[in-house]
Amino acid sequence: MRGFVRTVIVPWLAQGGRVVVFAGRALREMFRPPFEVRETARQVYEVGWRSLPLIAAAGYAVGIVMSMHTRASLERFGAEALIPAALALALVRETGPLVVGLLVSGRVGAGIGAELGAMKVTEQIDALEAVAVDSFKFLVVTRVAACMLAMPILTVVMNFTGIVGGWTAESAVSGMGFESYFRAAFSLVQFTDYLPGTLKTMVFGFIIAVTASYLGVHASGGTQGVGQAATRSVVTASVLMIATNVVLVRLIFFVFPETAE
Amino acid sequence: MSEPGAAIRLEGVSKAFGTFRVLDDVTLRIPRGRATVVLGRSGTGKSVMLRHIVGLLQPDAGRVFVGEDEITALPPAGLAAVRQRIGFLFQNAALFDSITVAENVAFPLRRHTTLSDAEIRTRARDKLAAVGLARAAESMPASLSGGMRKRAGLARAMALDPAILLVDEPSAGLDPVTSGEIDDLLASTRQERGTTLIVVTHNIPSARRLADAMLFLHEGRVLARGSAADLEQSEHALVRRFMRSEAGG
Amino acid sequence: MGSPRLAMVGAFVIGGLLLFAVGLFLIGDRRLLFSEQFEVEADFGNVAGVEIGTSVRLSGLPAGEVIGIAIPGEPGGRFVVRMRVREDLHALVRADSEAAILSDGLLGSAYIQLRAGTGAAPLVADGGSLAGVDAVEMSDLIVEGRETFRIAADEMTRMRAELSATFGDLGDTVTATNRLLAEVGTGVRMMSEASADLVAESRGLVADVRTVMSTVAAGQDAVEDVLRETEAAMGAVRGSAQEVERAIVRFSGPGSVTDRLLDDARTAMRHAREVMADVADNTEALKRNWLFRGFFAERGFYNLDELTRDEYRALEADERYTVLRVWLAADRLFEEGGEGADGTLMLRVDAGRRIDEAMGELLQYPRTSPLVVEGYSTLREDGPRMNDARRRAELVHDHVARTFGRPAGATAAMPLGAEAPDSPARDGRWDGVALTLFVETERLAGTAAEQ
Ligand SMILES: Nc1ncnc2c1ncn2[C@@H]1O[C@H](COP(=O)(O)OP(=O)(O)O)[C@@H](O)[C@H]1O
Ligand SMILES: [Mg+2]
Repeated sequence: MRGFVRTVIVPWLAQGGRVVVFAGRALREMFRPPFEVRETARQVYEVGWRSLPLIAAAGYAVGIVMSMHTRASLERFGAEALIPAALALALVRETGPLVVGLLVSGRVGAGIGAELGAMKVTEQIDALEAVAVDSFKFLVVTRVAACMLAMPILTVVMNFTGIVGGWTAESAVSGMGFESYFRAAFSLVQFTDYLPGTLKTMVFGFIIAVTASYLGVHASGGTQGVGQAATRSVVTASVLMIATNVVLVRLIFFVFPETAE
Repeated sequence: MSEPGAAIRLEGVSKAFGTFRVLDDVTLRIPRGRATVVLGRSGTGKSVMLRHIVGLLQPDAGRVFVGEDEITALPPAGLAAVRQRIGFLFQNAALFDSITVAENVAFPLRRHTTLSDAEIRTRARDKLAAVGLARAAESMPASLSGGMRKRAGLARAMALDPAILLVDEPSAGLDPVTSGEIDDLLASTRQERGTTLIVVTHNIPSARRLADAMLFLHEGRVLARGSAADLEQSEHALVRRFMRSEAGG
Repeated sequence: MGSPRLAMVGAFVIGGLLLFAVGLFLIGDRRLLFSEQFEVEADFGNVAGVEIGTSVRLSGLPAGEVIGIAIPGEPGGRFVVRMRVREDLHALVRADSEAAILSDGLLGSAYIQLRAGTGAAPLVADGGSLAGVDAVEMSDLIVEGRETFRIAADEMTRMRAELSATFGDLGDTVTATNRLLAEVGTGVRMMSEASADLVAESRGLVADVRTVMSTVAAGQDAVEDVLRETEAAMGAVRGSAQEVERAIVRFSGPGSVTDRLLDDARTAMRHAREVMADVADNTEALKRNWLFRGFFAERGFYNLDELTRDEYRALEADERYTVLRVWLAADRLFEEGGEGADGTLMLRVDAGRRIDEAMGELLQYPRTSPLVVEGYSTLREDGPRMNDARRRAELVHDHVARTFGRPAGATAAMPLGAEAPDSPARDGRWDGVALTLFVETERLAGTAAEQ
């Protein structure tokens, strides 16, 4: 038992502690000059712009599927009129943020884990340090900031393409017009759904980037270590994100009690 | 304080990875403006020693000085300033593989100078031309051969015209002609700019050509030091045998 | 990092922010954040479903939202709901505007409906207050109730009438009432309150009638007082029935849910009617009991069977009632049939239709009004004449009772002989029957006004 504690629990806790310290450092360094603006922009391009096709396509598909499901359940109550609003509410509050979070942790988390892992094992990170560049600021903070900036934007894109998808499905059934669908969709959404739902994805972005960066920067063992960093990034980031979401949802209910219906 | 003329000093530096002692109470002086060649079998800690000099590794015990600055006690900002005075060619070149070769060389210039974009490009080209890579400027590092990467790495290390140049096995994987050209480049750089050179190499002819002084590392200690002639007459058979070999390994 | 890439980053960030802003605008537009507003308040006894942010509509138009609900300081006080309303609708919100809490169908959320005021009333000041109309008073805000609900309401009234005529078999009556309410109430959230009241009232009624019974057992002196109390209880039941009616009317609105609900209500009503018919039959004997006969005699009605001809004629003169007659001639109604010596009198095949048509003229009046089928005959001899008159009256009465299901005890057959001063025959005589309805003069005025 003591052996188990010493060989499993303690290292595990120590690892957790190191991640927390790493995350804290990322948060602190983000607001401390000098700012790596160009590199952050490059990361926004990688994380945000290049995720757009994936997010838009996924959002569109999710919108169609959700619309069909919503129709199936609301039809029973004769509440078809609520389909756009129910879809939008679900998207804005939870589905949009979570789907974007999972997609980004898959695409971007793996990317960051692999890229930083490769840089680590080929000594590029040391090379950065050797040319007097703060590798943490240059590599980690830029990615964390880019993810935190890109996530809410991607979420908004997902929500809108989701609603467009919902409209596609709806107009196929009822021939509803786009503008009236859009207005109906937003008829029940409140600021207290929209703002926390969208902005909480900044937290998701933070978690994804910090986790993947940590695992990448601490990769070891050559090519295999790089692959490991990539897969672990996706898994760990997704799980952490979903767990954090539970806490965030409670927190949002606490701060905006009227959203807890 | 440091004696005049010492560019780099290690004082009782020890370093272990786990239980494996790589450096064991190493004390040495690298004279300013001279070329010091570090010899030793693979895995004796030559690269680890170079990393200590730029602060990429912290010693378990002992102190490292670069000029007047104690690397081992500097805050991050001070360390960065020191690092700008040092060029470092990594053993495996460590090029940034997401940007072109030219951008690799330009990278330190963009970070640490206020030169215009055009000036930076010109400088990067010049440095690449000096190592014979002008034609590969726009290639991505992944498409280069090992020797070409080495030379690109050297061009990057020399981009800021550093006062101190640390070169880890520059001629490994290079053909004898190119290898000779690199030696000439290093020698002329030292001569023209008074650059302090530390060259890790297994290539004895190259070492003889470059070295003002030699260090022989073995099992974490400095086994022998002095001129090439001193090492040829070393009391240690290993050192004498090493000096008699013709090519690197 | 070339400039095309930088442009994409810019497009991404700016486009994203714009899209985000579109969302904000779509929500904000609805919440009227960006337009001028004024505040009003209204008080309600109950604010079910209303919360901060609940939307406010004026004549169906989105007009604003609830921004606060003040809780009464003591039990029984009223909740004051504060609302923010679009300034451009201010001209419609007058001192005589009313606010009511409505709901968008079964699944819909509650909203507050403001009724535009009249031009004569002054504008409500910013921060001023409006009258809040509580749910049960809503019926007058709903422009048109549905025909079916009116029928349902009629059935409620009829039930009350049957209840008042039928003091026997109380258990069944209450069960029937409860069952009716249970069935009508199924799924009808809004009705439950009124239904509960009605059930409570019926329970109270049972208790009252029990009291009547025990008092009767003790002695007759107080009978009249007790019966008057019972009448009062009946009045309360009628009030509850009207509340249920209003609840139904309030709940009515387009949509399949409501239609299904209507079906349920109709079924419930049919069941209730059947049960009540049974109760009426079972308690017919009790109704004829001397105690109740006395009661009815005092009232002048409901025991028509026992009236003598003179008493009946006296009743006709009573000013509280207006007598309405529809005359039917014998030759169009009756035929001799069978082989009996006296010749059995029967209704002709098409007589039913004629009677029904005649009844049609009377159906517009309160159905609790007593209906008497007067029998006339012009046979010369006294005995056969009276027999003939009685037989005619009974045949038609039976048909009417069967077809129209008038409240038990509120119909009778009355043989009157040959004299018919008001008959269209001009000679003061009539050969046939007259359908005679005794309408309370007061209610007749109301009915006429409605026409
Ligand atoms: N970061 C490290 N972690 C663990 N062991 C290391 C690390 N860096 C170097 N070593 C070990 O230290 C020894 C010296 O390595 P190095 O200095 O690269 O040898 P060389 O003299 O060939 O350059 C080697 O055995 C190597 O395995
Ligand atoms: Mg080495």
